[in-house]
Amino acid sequence: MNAEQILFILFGAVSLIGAIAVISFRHPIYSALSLIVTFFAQAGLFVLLGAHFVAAVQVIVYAGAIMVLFLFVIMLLNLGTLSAKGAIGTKLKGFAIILGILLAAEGIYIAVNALNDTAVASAEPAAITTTTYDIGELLFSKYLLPFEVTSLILLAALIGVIVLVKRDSEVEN
Amino acid sequence: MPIEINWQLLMPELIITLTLLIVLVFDLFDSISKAILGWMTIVGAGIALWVSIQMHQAGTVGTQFNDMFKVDNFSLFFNIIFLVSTILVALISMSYLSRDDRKQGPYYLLILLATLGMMLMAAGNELIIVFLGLELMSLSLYVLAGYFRDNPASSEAGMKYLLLGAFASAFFLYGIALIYGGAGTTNVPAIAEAITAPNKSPLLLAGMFLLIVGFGFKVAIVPFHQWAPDVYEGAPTTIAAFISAGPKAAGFAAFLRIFMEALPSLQVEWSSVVIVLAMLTMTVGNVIAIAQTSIKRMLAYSSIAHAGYVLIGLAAANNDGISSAMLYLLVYCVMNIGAFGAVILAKTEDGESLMISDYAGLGLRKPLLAMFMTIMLLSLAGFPPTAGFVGKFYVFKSAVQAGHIWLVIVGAINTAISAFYYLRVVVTMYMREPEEELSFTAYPSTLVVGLVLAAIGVLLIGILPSLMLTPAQNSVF
Repeated sequence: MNAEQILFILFGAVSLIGAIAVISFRHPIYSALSLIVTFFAQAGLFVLLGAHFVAAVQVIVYAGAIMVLFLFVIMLLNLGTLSAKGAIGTKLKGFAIILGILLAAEGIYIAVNALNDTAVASAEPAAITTTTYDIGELLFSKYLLPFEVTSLILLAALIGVIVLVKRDSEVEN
Repeated sequence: MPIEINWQLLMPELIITLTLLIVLVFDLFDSISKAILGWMTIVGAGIALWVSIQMHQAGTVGTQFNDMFKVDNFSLFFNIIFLVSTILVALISMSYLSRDDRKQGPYYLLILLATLGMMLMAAGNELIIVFLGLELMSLSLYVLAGYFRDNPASSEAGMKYLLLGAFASAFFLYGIALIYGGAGTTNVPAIAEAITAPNKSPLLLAGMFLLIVGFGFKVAIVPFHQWAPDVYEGAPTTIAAFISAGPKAAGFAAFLRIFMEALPSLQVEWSSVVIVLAMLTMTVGNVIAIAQTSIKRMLAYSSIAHAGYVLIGLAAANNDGISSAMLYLLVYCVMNIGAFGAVILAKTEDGESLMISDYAGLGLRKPLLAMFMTIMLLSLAGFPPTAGFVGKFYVFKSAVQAGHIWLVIVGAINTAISAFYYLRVVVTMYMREPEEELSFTAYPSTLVVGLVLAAIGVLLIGILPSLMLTPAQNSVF
């Protein structure tokens, strides 16, 4: 077992534990903090894959900016501890557990089969582009259309938010 | 490294983008009447429609942006469906919104953004573009569903649609990731080349099923349909018409392209799933629709059932199946928007009349309204000489040719079931006396124009099916 494998197991385990902690805590702040742990562990996994830029973005954007917003919202709304009886009833809970186990079993089955699959193993890894220079060039050449469409999606999101939260001026008067 | 762009191929999309930017800028000026923004939307979509028809007739084919964006008769035919839906929805929206004059700008802007997203989905030759188009469309629709902020039902519809839609997008994206893992590419033709090998990677199969789940949510296929009735009922009626028409067609456009072009070698696996889903969708949609007392909810379940009929075309998986599914989607969009338009027309001074019992006695009191409603409902039920009959006929025919006799039998039984609840509304309008006298408001002229156009379309395709069938047959990839 080399260092890379040990690190993979470490990051993978931390990310899973963090994810389970997110849904186990009753207090939303603890859940949000657990989510940060998961994000950091995932950034570590990205580094192991050679995707340094994605790892940095993961830390800066997700663990940084988005989580701060989450925490602000939780603290401003003063959510407190969620009651033990959540939105899910006991009947649905059993159903959800069965479906969850089925889904997990399928996932494991696929993962084990995929490991033995020669086609996947022999597939060439994508050209590694880790510097911001390479990524910038790709965004404005090969991925120009997705890049431009993303800007339209942001426009739609921006307008949508304004429509939904803007106070009607008639109401104020 | 300069990129060569053939602007002519992108004309319909560019016109829509330009229109939405113009609407965005003109919305800033308070001195201009906001009603003009609706007309701008109609003119822009009309020009894009005309260009799409010209390109379709010329048989334009080409790819752009490193094979990511593919213009062919398939995408152009779907452009025609989307733009016809957009124009009809804009027409029926104008009178619906006039009470709330200030908020018209973003409304039309979001409709145009959603239309652009649909066009990208139909033209996407790359799973990333399909996903981005889907997100552009969905984000605009979430906001539109919750557009009437002061109405709790509308807010609930927007919230429900957002949560379930985001969930579906996650499934879709996970499916794309697994297919990328199995095939090593996200380009549609390249995926087809990569998986010609006899051993089918489990990653590909899992990705394919996740894609079916994602699409199933977006086009409301049973068992992923639960959001549809609540969203249609709560959303503004014009938006319910929009959601049930264009986005459903866009979902099927991407569904058809990805499954027929990228995953033909997995056809044995997916066609059996599609057959089961088609049977379930038709039966559940139609049976639950019988029990509805609200006309919007009834139309929601009927639109779920219609997705099942379109799936028959996909299950047939031959050229006739694809062209009949496309024809069906066009017909369905026109008649469904028409039916919702008739619901808007039946407005009383207390608001909309949404209960089926409110329609009692309308046949004599409001002959024009009752006539529109009857044409649309007969078409939805599939009676000749309406377009609905033509659509169903060709879908069933393609499935018989492909040997799916049982599927057609289930479809035919469902048509009979659906005739019951559609005709019940017609019977209520003409044969029952109203329990209380409702005072209906005057007909808005734009709404009547929209309904006349929809009715002409439904009858014209019904009488001269080759008018749209031949273009549809020329549009198979």
